[in-house]
Amino acid sequence: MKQLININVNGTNFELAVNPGMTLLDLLREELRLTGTKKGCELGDCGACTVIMEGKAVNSCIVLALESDGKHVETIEGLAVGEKMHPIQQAFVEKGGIQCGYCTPGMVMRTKAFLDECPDPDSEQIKEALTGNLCRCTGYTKIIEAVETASLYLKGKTPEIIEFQPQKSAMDLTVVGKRLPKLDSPDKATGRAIYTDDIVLPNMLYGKLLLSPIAHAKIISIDTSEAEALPGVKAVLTGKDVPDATWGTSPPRYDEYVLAKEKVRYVGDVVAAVAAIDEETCYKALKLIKVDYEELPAVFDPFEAMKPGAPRLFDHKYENNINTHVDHHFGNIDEGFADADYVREAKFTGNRIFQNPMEPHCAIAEWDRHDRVVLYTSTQVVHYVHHQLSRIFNKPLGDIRVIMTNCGGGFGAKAATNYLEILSIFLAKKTGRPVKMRYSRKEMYLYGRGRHKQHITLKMGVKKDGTITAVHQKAVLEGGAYSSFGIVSAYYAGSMLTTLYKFPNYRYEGFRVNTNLPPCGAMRGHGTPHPRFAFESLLSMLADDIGMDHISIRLKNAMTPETRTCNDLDIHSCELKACLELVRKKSGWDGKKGKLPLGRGIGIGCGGFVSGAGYPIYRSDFPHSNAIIKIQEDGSKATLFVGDADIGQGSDTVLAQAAAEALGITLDHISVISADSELTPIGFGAYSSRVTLMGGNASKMAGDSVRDKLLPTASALLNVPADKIKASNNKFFSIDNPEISIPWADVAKTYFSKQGPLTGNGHYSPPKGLGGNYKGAAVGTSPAFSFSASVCEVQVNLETGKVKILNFWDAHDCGTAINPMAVEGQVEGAIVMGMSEVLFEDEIFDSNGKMVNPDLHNYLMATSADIPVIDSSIVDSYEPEGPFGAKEVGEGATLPVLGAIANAIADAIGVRIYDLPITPEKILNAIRSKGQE
Amino acid sequence: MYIPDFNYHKPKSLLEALSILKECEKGILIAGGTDLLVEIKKGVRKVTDLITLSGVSELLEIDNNDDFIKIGSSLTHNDVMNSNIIKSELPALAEACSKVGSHQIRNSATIGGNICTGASCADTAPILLAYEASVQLTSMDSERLVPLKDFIINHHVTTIRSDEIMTGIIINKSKHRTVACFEKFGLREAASISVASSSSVIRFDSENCISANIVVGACGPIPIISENAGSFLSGKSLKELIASDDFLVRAGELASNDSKPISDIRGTADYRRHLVKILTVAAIRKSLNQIAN
Ligand SMILES: Cc1cc2nc3c(=O)[nH]c(=O)nc-3n(C[C@H](O)[C@H](O)[C@H](O)COP(=O)(O)OP(=O)(O)OC[C@H]3O[C@@H](n4cnc5c(N)ncnc54)[C@H](O)[C@@H]3O)c2cc1C
Ligand code: FES
Ligand code: FES
Repeated sequence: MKQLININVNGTNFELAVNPGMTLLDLLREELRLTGTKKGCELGDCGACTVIMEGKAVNSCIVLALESDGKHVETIEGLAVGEKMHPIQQAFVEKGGIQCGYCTPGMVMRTKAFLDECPDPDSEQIKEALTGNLCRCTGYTKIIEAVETASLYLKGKTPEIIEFQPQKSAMDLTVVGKRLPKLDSPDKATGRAIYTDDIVLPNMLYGKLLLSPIAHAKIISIDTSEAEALPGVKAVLTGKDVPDATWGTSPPRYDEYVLAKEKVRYVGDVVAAVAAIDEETCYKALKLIKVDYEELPAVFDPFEAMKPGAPRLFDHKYENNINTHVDHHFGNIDEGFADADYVREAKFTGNRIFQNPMEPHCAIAEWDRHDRVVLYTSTQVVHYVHHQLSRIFNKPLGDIRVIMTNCGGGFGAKAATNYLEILSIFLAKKTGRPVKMRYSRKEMYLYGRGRHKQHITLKMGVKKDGTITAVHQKAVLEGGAYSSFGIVSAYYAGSMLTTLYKFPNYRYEGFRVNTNLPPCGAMRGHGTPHPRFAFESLLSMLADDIGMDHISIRLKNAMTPETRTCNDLDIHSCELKACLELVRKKSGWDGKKGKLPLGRGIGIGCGGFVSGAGYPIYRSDFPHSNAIIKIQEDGSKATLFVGDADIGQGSDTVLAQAAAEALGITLDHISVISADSELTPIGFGAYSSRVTLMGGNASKMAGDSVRDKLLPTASALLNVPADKIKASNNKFFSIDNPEISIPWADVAKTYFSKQGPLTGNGHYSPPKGLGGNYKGAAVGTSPAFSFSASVCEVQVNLETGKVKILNFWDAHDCGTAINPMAVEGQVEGAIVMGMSEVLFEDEIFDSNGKMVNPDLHNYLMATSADIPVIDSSIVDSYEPEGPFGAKEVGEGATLPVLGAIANAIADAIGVRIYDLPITPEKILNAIRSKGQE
Repeated sequence: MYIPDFNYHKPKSLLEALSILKECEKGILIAGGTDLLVEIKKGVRKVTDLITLSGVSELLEIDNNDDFIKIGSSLTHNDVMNSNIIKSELPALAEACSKVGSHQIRNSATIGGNICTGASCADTAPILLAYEASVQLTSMDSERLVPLKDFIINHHVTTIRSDEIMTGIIINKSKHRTVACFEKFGLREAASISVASSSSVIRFDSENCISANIVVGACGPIPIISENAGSFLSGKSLKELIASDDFLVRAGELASNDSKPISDIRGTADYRRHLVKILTVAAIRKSLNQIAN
C-alpha cells in the first residue's frame, strides 16, 4: 500500500505517495523525473546513484524512498544555479573528467559532499574518497585533477594554467590540436544529458526477458497462460511468435534466433519476452512462464568441446564445435626458425572479461500509425542496428528510425544489435504501445559479448642480434554459445600481430570454439589484447635469453613507415621508435631495468591498432562515414550531421573540431547532431577505432566543401581573388594582407541570401583494394595504424603477492591529436581498464555454466584507489590518410598495457605468470615454486 | 530487480519499536539496509513487514563510561570511525570501520547491522571479538548482555530472538595497557570484501603480556578466535616480543592453523591460511609498535 512522504529535493518540498518497495533512486528518477541520478548496478557497488541526503553521500539505489521522509536530498540537478555551473561541474568539464558521463552525476555529488568535509584534500585523499564511484571510461586521472581544481575554485583560487606544447603537425591550426572541453560535457556535468533509460514516452510499457536457467537443453514446451493472465501483463512472446530467420553480427555466422526455438545453449539464452505496465509486473510474469526443458550434456571448456563425441551446440554446423578456423601462413616459418639462433615457445592464457560500461543497455521502441518504428537505444552502431532490424522485420531502412541517445559507454558491449532492440520492437508491435527494455547488471553479463578468453601457444625465433626470424601462433578462442563478432575476433587475433615488428615468416592457426557459456564478442582491442600480451611477454623472455635489453630488442624490430607487413597490411605513418625512445627516457628505464630491488619491477609493452576496419561488417558499397554541414541562414552557426556515434570517447567534439578547422570557424560556432538514422547520413559507428579517421575525413570534407562554396562570395565582398583568401577564426581574410577581412557569418549570410541553403557534404571510404588476396585478408586492413609504447613500474608485496601499479609512462602515435586532452583521456582510461583486466577481472562459472559473479561486487573493477600515476605523451606524427594527419587512439591504447604489466611483474619477482588475471595468489605460488627450484 | 511490497513500520522510540517487533511476528528490522535490501533485491530474502530503526534515536549514542564504552547499534561505520571517543579508546575498531565498503556504504551501513547479519566476512565482528565485546539485546520483556563470541554462531546465524533488538555493543575498559590492530586483505585497494583479516588486542601489565586475543576474519563460517595464538603470546614479556620476530611468526602460524577457510572466488583455502599468517604477524607487530612509540 502506498504511503505518504514529505521530502525536500534541491530545496523544493514534495508530498508524495510511494510504494514501500520503491527506492530513493526510483523516486527521484521515475516519480520526480530527476533523471540526472543514474542507475548502474542497483546494489550499492557503483556509486552512479549517489545523492546527498542530510549532507551525506549515499547510494540512493539501496535507500528506501520511505526512509527519505522528512529529509533533505540534493541531486545533480540542484547544483548549478540557473545557467551557471557549480565550480565542481565547471572543473569536471574543463579538466576532461567526463567521457560517457554516466558516472559523472554520482562522482560530482560525491565530490560535493567530500569537499564540504575536506576542503583541502591531497590526491591520495581524493583517490580514497572516490572509491565508491566506479568509472569505466576515464581511468580516474582527470577526475582526480578535476576534484583538485574544484577545491581551488571553491576557495576562490584560480588554478595554474599549464602550458602545453602543440604537436608540429598542429602548429598552424586553430581548432584542431587544441585541448578543448568536450561539447557535451556541460550537459553531462549537470545531469541534463538524456540517456535511453531517462526517456519515458506516454503510455509506455516495460519489457523483460526470460533467460534460460540451464546451460544446454531442448525446449519441450512453454506454457505462458498464467503469465498472460497476470493483471498488468500486456504481451508474452516466445519462439513461435517470431520469425524463423536467424540474426547475428557477421553475415556468414548469423546463428541466433530472436527467441529460442527448440533449444537453449547457455544460462542466459533468451526464451521469452514479456511486456507489462512496469518492470515489477514483468518479473512476476516471468516467474509464471512454465518451460519444460530436457537437459542436454553441456560443455564449457573449448578443448573439451573440440574432442570427438563432445556435446554439439549446433547439430548441423560448426563441426566439433569449431565455429571458425583460420590457418594462415606467410613466408616460411620452418626456414625462419632454422635461421634463428634462439627459439622459444610458451603457452599463455587470457581471461574472460566483460566490458562493463557503466550504463546498462536500454532500448525503447514505438510504432506509429504509418507502420513505421522508432527505436531509441544506447548503441555504438546505429547503422548496423538499422540494417539488422531491416532484415529481421523485412522493412526498408526508411521505415525504421534508429536514434542513439547519449550512451554511457560501450567498449564493444554495444557494438552490435542486441535482444532489447529487437524485442522491444516486437513487443511494441504486439501491444500497440511504446515499450522500454533495459538490462540489469546481471542481465548484461548474461547477454555477454565480452572478451574471448584465448589459449595461446606462441613460438618465436630470433637471431643473436635480436632480429625476429619467425613467429608461430596457435590460438584457441573460447567463444561461448553464439558467433556474435567471433569470426572477426578469430581473424584479428592473428592478423594484428604483424603490425608492430617486422618479421618475414608467420603462421597463425586460430580456432574459435563454441561452448555453453555467454557468447563472446568484440571488446576494446578486439581479439588482439591476449595475443599481444603473449607476444610482448615472449619477446621480453627472448631478450633475456640472448642478453638483450627489452627496449633495444623492440627498437631492433620496430615497424617503420611505408612498410607492407608479411600478411599484406600497409603501414603508412609509424613512429613506434619515437614512442619507445620517449618512454625509455621518461621512465628512467636505463637507470631502473635490472637495478630495482626484489619486489619492484619495470616492464615494457607495445601496442597498436587499426584506425577503422578497411571493410564493413556486411558487404556494402556505402561510404563508411558521411557528413552533412548545414549553415544557419545568418551564418551564426554550423550544424554537423554525422552518423557516427559518440559513446563517450568524444567523437562529436573531435569531428566538430575537424569540421570547424576546415570551415574556418571556432568550436563555439558549431554544434553536432549525430547517430540518428533519419537525420544523419549513414556512418558505421563507433567500433574498430574508426571514427576519428573516417568520420573526421567526412566531416573535414563537408567543411571544405562549405568553405569552398563561400570563397567566391568572400572574394566578391573582399575584392580579393578567391585563391588568395583563407578562412580561419570566424573570418575570411586576404592571405597577403590579413588586415583585409570580413566576418565569416557575413559571407555565409550573403551566400544564403543569394543562393539559398548553404550545406556541404563529405564522405569517406577507405582506399580500394586494401590487403592481400588470401581468405580473411580483409580483417586487419585499415587506412592507417596507430603505435604505442608503455613502460610500467610495479611494486609486488612478496608476502601476499599483491601488486601495486605505481607508474605508467605511455607514448602514443595517433598522428595529429585532434584533441590532445581527449587522447590523454583515452590513454588513461585504457591503462586503468587494462590494469583492471590484468589484475582483477575474470568471469567465473560454476560446474553448471552459471555465472558466479555477475555483479560489481564480485566481479571487481579498478577503483580510484588502485590507479597508478599516468604520464601520457603524444609523439609527433602525421598520417596522410587521416584528417589533418590524425589516426586512432581508443582501442590501441589498451594493447601495450597487458604486456607491460606482465613484464613488470616478472621483473619484480623473477618469475613469470602466463595466465590472466595475474592474481596475488598466482604470484605467491609462482614465487614459492621458484624458491623450491 | 525490484523490492516486493511489504508493510512498513516506523517507530519513533525504542519502546515503540520493541512493541511492534513483539506484535508483528514476521517483523524484520532494517537499519542501513545495505545488507537487507541487497538480499531482497537479489531475491534471496523475503520480507513482509519491515520495521525501520531510523526513527529510533536511542540507538545513536556512544556512551563513554569509566568502565565501558557502549556503541549504539544504529551508528554507521562512518559515525564510528569519526568518533573521537572511538579513535582514542578503540582505534582498531575505527580502522576496521574505515575498511568497510566505500564511503557511501559507510554512510548508511551500521555497526549493528554488520554484527546482526552475521556474515563470515563482516569486518567489525573480528575486532570486536578481540576486544571481548558483548552485545546488548533488548526486548519488551528483557534485556540481556551476550558476549559476542556466543552471539554469532554460524554464517548468517546469531542467537538473537525474533523479539529482540540489538541496542548496543559494549566493550569493557581494561586497566591494563592495551594495544590493538585490525589488518584486512582485499583484492583491490578499497571497497572490497575481506579475503581474510586478522585482529589483535593485546594487553600488558608493566612488562608482560597478560592476554592476547587474535581473531581471524573471513576464514571460517564465523570469525575465529585463535586460542592457540592467544595462549602462546600471553605470558611473554614485551621485551622478548619486540626483540624477535620468531614469536610473531609462530603466533601467525598458530592463528593460521586455527582458521577454517574455504575456497571461493576470492581465494583458495590455502591462500587464505597463508594470508592469516601474514596478517596476524602484521597486526601483532603494529600493535607492539604502538607501545614502542
Ligand atoms: C557495496 C557493499 C560493500 C560492502 N562492503 C563491506 C565490507 O567491506 N565489509 C563488511 O563487513 N561489510 C560490507 N558490506 C555489508 C554491509 O554494508 C554491512 O554488513 C553493514 O554494516 C550492514 O549494516 P546495515 O545497517 O546496512 O544492515 P541492514 O541491512 O539494515 O541489516 C542487516 C541485518 O541485521 C539486522 N539488524 C540490523 N540492525 C539490527 C539491530 N539493531 N538489531 C537486530 N537486528 C538488526 C537486520 O534485520 C538484517 O537482518 C557491504 C555492503 C555493500 C552493499
Ligand atoms: S546504482 Fe546504486 S550503487 Fe550502483
Ligand atoms: S565517464 Fe565515467 S563511466 Fe563513463
